Amino acid sequence: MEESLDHLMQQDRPLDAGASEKVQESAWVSASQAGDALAFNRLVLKWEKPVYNLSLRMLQDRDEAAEASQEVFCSAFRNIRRFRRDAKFSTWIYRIAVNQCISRLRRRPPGLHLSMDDQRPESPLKGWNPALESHEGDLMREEERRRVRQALGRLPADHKVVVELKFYQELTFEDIADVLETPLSTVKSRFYSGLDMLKLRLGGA
Amino acid sequence: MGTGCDHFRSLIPRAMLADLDPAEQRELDLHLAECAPCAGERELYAQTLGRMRSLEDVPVPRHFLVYPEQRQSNPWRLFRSLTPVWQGSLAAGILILFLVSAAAATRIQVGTRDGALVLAFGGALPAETKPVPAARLDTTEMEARIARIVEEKNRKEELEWIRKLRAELAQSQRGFTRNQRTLLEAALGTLETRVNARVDETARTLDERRAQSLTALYQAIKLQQDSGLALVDAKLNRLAINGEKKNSEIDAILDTILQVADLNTTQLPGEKR
Repeated sequence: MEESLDHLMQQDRPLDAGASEKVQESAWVSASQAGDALAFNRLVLKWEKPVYNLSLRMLQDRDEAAEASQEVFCSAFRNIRRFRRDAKFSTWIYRIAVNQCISRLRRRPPGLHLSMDDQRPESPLKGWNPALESHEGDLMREEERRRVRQALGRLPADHKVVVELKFYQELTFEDIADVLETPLSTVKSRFYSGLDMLKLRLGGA
Repeated sequence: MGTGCDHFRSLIPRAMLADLDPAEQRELDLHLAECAPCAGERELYAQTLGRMRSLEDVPVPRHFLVYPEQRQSNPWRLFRSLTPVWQGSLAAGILILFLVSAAAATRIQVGTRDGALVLAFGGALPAETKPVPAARLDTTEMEARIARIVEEKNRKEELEWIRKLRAELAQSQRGFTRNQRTLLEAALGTLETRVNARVDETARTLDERRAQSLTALYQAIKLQQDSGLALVDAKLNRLAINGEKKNSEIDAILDTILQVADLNTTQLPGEKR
């Protein structure tokens, strides 16, 4: 598997921008649907970072985000034959990821808002080497990140997922509506409502 | 804050994400240039978005590669992917199914009834069904009843016939001379004797024929137990018709005798009316 991974990493260089990437992704999807695990793992390497970061911001827990990401790709691998070729792979993988995260959030006891900072108070400084990063600005940035994570963590799940997809994953409202299978007007309403909540928590600071 | 500020404030986040058409964007820009509170609101949104951007993506802690054997679905994994409510419902359903199956397996009974396989859950097998015997026809009693009915009917008819005959004779005797009456009574005595004999003979014949008919009837009844009393009634009617025929014959004989007696009376020599 390690040899295959190195081979994959070498072949995972971007070809041309835009269309070439889509063609390449389409070829990997086709091969995956034919049962080629290597081709699917190329898709994993391309999409694992967005999926992991989406899971991390949604779940606010590194271990659970990693577990969820693994489950997303395993589920996608099991169901790749059901993927319709006329749809976007990104929409499909985001939909699986969002469903996975919302399912995990629902399993949590009501009213529980996990935060990486709440769970691990030392986490902002985890891995921080005072000898290398002693600048006060770094501490301030880390504090700001902690506040943003907290504010995001307190959003309702359906608002949080729209903010995540729009702001961090940079999807269009139309794509978000496809991912969530929700009307466009609802998506926009949730996004601006979520943004308003974040403004109240972050804007005045 | 002006009256139209609420509208423009609702446009601010949309403007930050380039979600306004050019005309709306121009209107908003003009308003923000003149309205300090709304400009401050835009600044708040800008700060918010700026802070949100500080939460940049992090590298993955490891690769999430998959293995060919992971294509197979694992029931336990599927179960774990369900929400707690569904997990509880599914677990409860499986438990109930197991308990019902166990109860059915321990209390099930198998048997055959009327050549068919019968399963009984939690109770005894249904009792074997036995054919219900048909109601038995008591032919002896029916024979006695029929005989009584026929005898009673004939006796009534005979008595009625004799009563009419005597009335006829009594009416005929009026206006006769003494000698004629003597002769007539003698003739009538003879006639009565003969009639009685004939009636007895007719009765015997009727009895015999009735007995024959009844025997045939009983046999028919025995052979066709389900034919019912309608058939018996038909037979009885036929017997009655036969009796009436015989009575008619007797009437004819009696008339003949009376005519003969009347003729003898008119031909007696030296007699005067």
